[in-house]
Amino acid sequence: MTPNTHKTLLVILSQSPYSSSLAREAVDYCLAAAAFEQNIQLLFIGDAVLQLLNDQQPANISQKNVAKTLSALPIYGIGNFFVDHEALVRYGLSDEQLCLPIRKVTPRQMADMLANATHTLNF
Amino acid sequence: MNYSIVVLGAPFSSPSAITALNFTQALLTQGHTVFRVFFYHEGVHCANQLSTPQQDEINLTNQWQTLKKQHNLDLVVCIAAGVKRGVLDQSEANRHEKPCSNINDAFDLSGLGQLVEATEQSDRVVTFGP
Amino acid sequence: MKTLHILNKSPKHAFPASQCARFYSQHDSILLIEDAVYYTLPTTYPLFLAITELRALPTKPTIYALKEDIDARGISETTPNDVKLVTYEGFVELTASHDKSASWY
Repeated sequence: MTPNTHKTLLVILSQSPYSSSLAREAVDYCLAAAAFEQNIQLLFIGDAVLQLLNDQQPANISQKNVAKTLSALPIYGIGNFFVDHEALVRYGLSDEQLCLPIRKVTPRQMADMLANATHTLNF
Repeated sequence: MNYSIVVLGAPFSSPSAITALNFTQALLTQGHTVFRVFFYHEGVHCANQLSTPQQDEINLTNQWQTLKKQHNLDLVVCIAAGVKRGVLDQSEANRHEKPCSNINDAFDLSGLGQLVEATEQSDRVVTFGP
Repeated sequence: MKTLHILNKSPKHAFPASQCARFYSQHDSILLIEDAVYYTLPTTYPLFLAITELRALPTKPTIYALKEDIDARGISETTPNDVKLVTYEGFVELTASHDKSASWY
């Protein structure tokens, strides 16, 4: 596979971190995409903004820390993080609670991101 | 057109595994090609050949196997998602010292790179949610 | 580029339908499959329209529903006039005529 800069893959995350393994499996997909130098954008909507909370301590519920894995994504070359601003407001989250440097977007901007993407995967 | 299909739902807990099969059959009937069907998340259970539905119920694993025989489909089960849910081929069964394997031989266990490649190579990617 | 928004969850889940509205661009379409076809009932369709018109869209999306899933659930008599029924063949054609699909669940 060769890197393709013409195609943009929009990965839309909407699950809370510990309701099922889907949040973690979505991150695993992003890591694989980064390994193959794909041009990906990550967009957190709905309950997925809860994945971004930086004070998660899930050891006592026998889960691996999703925020810790997300924090590692920039090391693997993923840098395009977007979050649905309205979802942050819904849960009352502020910037300093989040584990990634992330750009807030409006529904209009989200619609444009989807329209401009080559493919989208919803997790 | 060249399609890839992503299946995230398990038989019996979500209709998505059946919807994905019907959609893939319709695609092929219309002359489209399928680059890959990728089974991820709970969708990996579609490959369990030990699944034994009652006789008047659909056996999804067998249906995918039949479709593969007719159209030479590439059916890939995510290895990480599959092994953790107990969908193993012989080599993984040996590696993890399990008494048996259970993946239907129409399916291949492989890495997430196969899904990355599928999105890269296909004109259309259709996801069937859990 | 045109997107086909695919919904598969019943009206008890408001989140997926609300997302397909927020991500809507002109010329996109919506396809109801599996339990999302229950949105075509006389009591739930107004709710669906309310959710999907939230942003005072300049154009209304065309709404499709999968006939096999409608028939299976015994609700074929009450499909609203502005919902177009498609078979699996039509489902395939919709995915081909749109540039991409997004599955909200």
